[in-house]
Amino acid sequence: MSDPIIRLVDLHKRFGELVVLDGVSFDIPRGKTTAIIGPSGTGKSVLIKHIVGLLEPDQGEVWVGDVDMATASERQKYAVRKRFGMLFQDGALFDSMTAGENVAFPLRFHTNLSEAERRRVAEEKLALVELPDVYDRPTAALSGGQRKRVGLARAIVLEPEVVLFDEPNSGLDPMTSDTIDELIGRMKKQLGITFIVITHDIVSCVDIADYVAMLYGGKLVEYGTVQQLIHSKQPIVRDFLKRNVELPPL
Amino acid sequence: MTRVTALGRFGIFAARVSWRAVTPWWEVNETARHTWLITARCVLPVVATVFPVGMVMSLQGLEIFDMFGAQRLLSSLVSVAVFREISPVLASVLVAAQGGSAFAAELGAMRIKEEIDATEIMAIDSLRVHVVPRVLATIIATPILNLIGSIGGIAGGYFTAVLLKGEPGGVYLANLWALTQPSDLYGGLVKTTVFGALIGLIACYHGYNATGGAAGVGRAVNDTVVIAVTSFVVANYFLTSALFGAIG
Repeated sequence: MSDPIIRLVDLHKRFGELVVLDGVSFDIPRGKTTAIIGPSGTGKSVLIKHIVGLLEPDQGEVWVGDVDMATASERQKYAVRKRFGMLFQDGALFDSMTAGENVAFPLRFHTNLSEAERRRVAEEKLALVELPDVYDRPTAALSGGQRKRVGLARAIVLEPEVVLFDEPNSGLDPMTSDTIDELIGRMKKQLGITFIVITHDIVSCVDIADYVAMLYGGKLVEYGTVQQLIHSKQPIVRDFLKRNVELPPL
Repeated sequence: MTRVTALGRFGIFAARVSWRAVTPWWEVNETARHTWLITARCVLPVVATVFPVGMVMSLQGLEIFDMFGAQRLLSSLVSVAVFREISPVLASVLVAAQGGSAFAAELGAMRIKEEIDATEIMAIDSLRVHVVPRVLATIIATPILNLIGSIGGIAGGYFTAVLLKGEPGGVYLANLWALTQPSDLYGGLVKTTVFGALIGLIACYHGYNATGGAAGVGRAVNDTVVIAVTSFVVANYFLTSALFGAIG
C-alpha cells in the first residue's frame, strides 16, 4: 500500500447508549480509491464526518497528514478541509443559488478570482462532469443525477487532494449510477486524487475501488483490496457480498 | 437535554455568533438581502396590527378623557403608549412570527439537507455565512418596523379620534408631542434592537441545530416563536424599567 494520507487509530464514538464506532483503525492510501462499505447504520457516514472534523471521537485519533482532527483547533480543521472536497448523498446544493453559483461558491472564499473568472472556472468544472450548459439553471430544475454531478463539480472546484463521496449512487437509476461511476473512474485518472467512497452498492465498489473497508456493528470486519474482500472467509462479509457478486467457494 | 444544558449551549452559540458579527469579514449583500426580505414580509402585518390597536386606544382613551374634559391629552397618551410599548412589542411579535420562523425553517432545512455541513467542509465558516447575516437582519429590521408601526399606531389613533369621533385634528396633532419625549422614541428603538437580536439568535440557534428531519424543522420553528416571544416579553419589563423607569 502507498503512503497513507489519512490514518484512523482506534476510533470510538457513541450517541447516548448507541455505540456507532467501536475501535476502528485503518489507513487510507494516497492517490487511490478506498470504498467504505457495510449495511445501513454501521457508522459509515459517522466515520467520514470524523475524517473531515465535523464530529469528534469519544476516543481515538484521526490523522490527516500531521494534523489529528480529533484534537485540532477550528483554524487547523479549516486548513485541513481546504484539502478536501465532498459529494453529499443529495448533492447538498444551496437552493438559493443556481447550479453554477453553487460550483463557484468556494472560489469566492478561497481565491482572489474576479466574478467572471469564477464563472469561467465553474463552467470548466461543470463541463468536466458533462454538464456544460447548466450554470444559470436553478438547482430545483436539476434531476437527481444532475444534482450529484453539480455537487461533484463543486467538490473538485478547488482541486482538492481528497474527495469524499457519501453514497454517490443512492437514489439513482442503474444507468445514471453507471455514469457517476464512470465519472469517478475518469476523474481518478485525470486528476490523480484520493477518493473515499461510502457505498453499499457492491457492484459499484468492485468497479471503482482499489481498497475496501467493511464496517459492521461499528467494527472494521475486513480491509484490503477488492480481490481480498471477494476472497474473504469471514461469514459476515460473504453474507453481505453474496447478493451482488459471484463469490469463489470457501 | 436539561434546560440548563440547553441554555448553556445557546449562550455559547450566541457568543460565537456575536464575536463573528463584530469582527470582519461580513456578508454585506446577504445581510442586506435578508433585511429587505424580513422588512418586506413584516411591514404590512405590523401596520395592520398596530394601526387598529391605536384605534382602540383612542376609543377607550376618549371615553375616560371625556369624563375629565381632557380630550386634548388623547394624542399624547396614544403616542407615549405606541412609542414605548405597543409598537415595539407588536412589531417584535410579528418579526418573530414571520421572520424568525422563516429563518429557523431555512436554517433547519439547510441542516437537514446537509448544506451547513457542506459549507463547513468547503472550509467556510457556516456561522459567518449563514447565521450572522440573518441575526444582523433582525437587528436592523425590527427597529425599522417599529418606527413604521409607531407611525401606523398614531395614525390609527387619529383615524378614530378625528375622523370617527369628530375631535379636532389640529388639537390631536398639536398635543402629539406634548408628553412624548425623544427618549420615548429612542427607548423604543433600543428595545426593538435588543428584541431583534434575541429573535435572530433564538431563531438561528433552533434552525442551525435542528435534528430529526421535517418534524425537527417544524419543532425548531415552533420553539423559535414561543421562546422568542416569551424571552422578549420578559426582557421588555427589565428594559422598560431601565430605559423609562427613571423618566417616570
